[in-house]
Amino acid sequence: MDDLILYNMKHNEGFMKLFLMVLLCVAITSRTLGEDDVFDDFEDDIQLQLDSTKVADPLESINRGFYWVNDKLYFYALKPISVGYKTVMPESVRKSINNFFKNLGFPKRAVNNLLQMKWRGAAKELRNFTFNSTAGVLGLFNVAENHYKWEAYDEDFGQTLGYYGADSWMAVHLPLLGPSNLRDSIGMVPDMFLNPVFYIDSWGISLSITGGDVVNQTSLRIGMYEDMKASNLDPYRFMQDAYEQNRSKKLEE
Amino acid sequence: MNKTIMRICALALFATAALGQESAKSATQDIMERTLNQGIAILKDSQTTDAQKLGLFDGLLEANCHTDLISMLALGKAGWAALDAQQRVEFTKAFFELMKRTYYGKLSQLDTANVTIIYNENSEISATKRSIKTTMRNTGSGFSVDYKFTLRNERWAIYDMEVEGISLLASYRSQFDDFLKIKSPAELIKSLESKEQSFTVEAFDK
Repeated sequence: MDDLILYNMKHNEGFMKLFLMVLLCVAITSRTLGEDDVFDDFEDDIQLQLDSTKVADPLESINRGFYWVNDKLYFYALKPISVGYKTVMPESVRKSINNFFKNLGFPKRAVNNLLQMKWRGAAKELRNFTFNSTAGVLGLFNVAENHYKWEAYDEDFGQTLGYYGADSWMAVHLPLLGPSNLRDSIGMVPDMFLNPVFYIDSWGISLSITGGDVVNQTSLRIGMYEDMKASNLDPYRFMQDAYEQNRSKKLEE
Repeated sequence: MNKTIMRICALALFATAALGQESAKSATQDIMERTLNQGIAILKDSQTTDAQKLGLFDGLLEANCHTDLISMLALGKAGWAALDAQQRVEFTKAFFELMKRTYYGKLSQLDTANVTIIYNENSEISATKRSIKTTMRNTGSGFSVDYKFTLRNERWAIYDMEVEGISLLASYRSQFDDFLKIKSPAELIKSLESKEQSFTVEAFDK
């Protein structure tokens, strides 16, 4: 019996010594990282993030061409119109118009929540739409977000395709619309049928309303595009990468 | 006797580790709240000019970010190795200036009177890395900003931030990788410096 106790003590002691040594080694090595170790410590995470959001860009020269066109359209048409509009239209009115169009996006968000079996998201979208359309006077006031802090559950058909395993396939830079990928560009077609503005009989009126929405939105964020261009060496590359990273996050959610 | 001492040591190490995690959480939380509160206070101050505000941001970011580490990681192992000692200093300075102006530009677009920051989660990535997820709400609309912290030279500080999933490090790494495939490190530094100047002209001329 005494032998057994002695045996256990010796083995426990050995284990304790080993355990303490391991803990000390971990403590020492974590405080003495060299330059290579620093990279090793972070490189995997960054590379993983880059690889998971990297998308092929076989149409890069065409995409860059559309980026150039969009850039010129912004500076020579959209921005001057939006700045003019901003000077005559008070911010509160522009925000209300923005709320109205956001509320009109309910069918798209709700249907895509349902298609992805996000029942709670769809139910919450219905709740937000009901509150904003009634208490918020046809959606002019975003009562759900501003008063109740209920966020929108933004889903589109590109995300629905992603939910069912569709890849981004390839980078696309769309005329007038900017960065996208093939999956999300295809997804815009069914989403178009869920936009109430699409069902207005006159194409002219429908396009004018859409154009008005774009000008109104731009007036609320003048300077953002300029900042993005100023802070990046290759704004086209940044826009495509940022688009993919953002979509990847949305798909994870 | 020896066994008792070792048990006490093991318990002490366990307790230190547990306390360390708790203190890391509160240290990073303090840095986060202090940085954002000071940043918004600088922006709100109507008495100071843009240039003065940028100067104040300089100190704020230096104190709360691992600026050297950010520069190294943005460039990557191969890119960093391609720079000589002088170029590393120049790159770090130029990149920090650009980051500062970018961050300042983003925050200055907010309606500072109506900014609310919600601290969602402060979680451990590893023993020396943590992440704080926040939501910045500004007059109704909200967007997520996640900050990543690391412990380096006994100091917790920010080494990356993700705005709506868009990582500062990953975005710049991708651009720098492409740039260095066709141009030299010296040209990269020159481009960053010229970007910094163009930012001054474009960003404040809205």
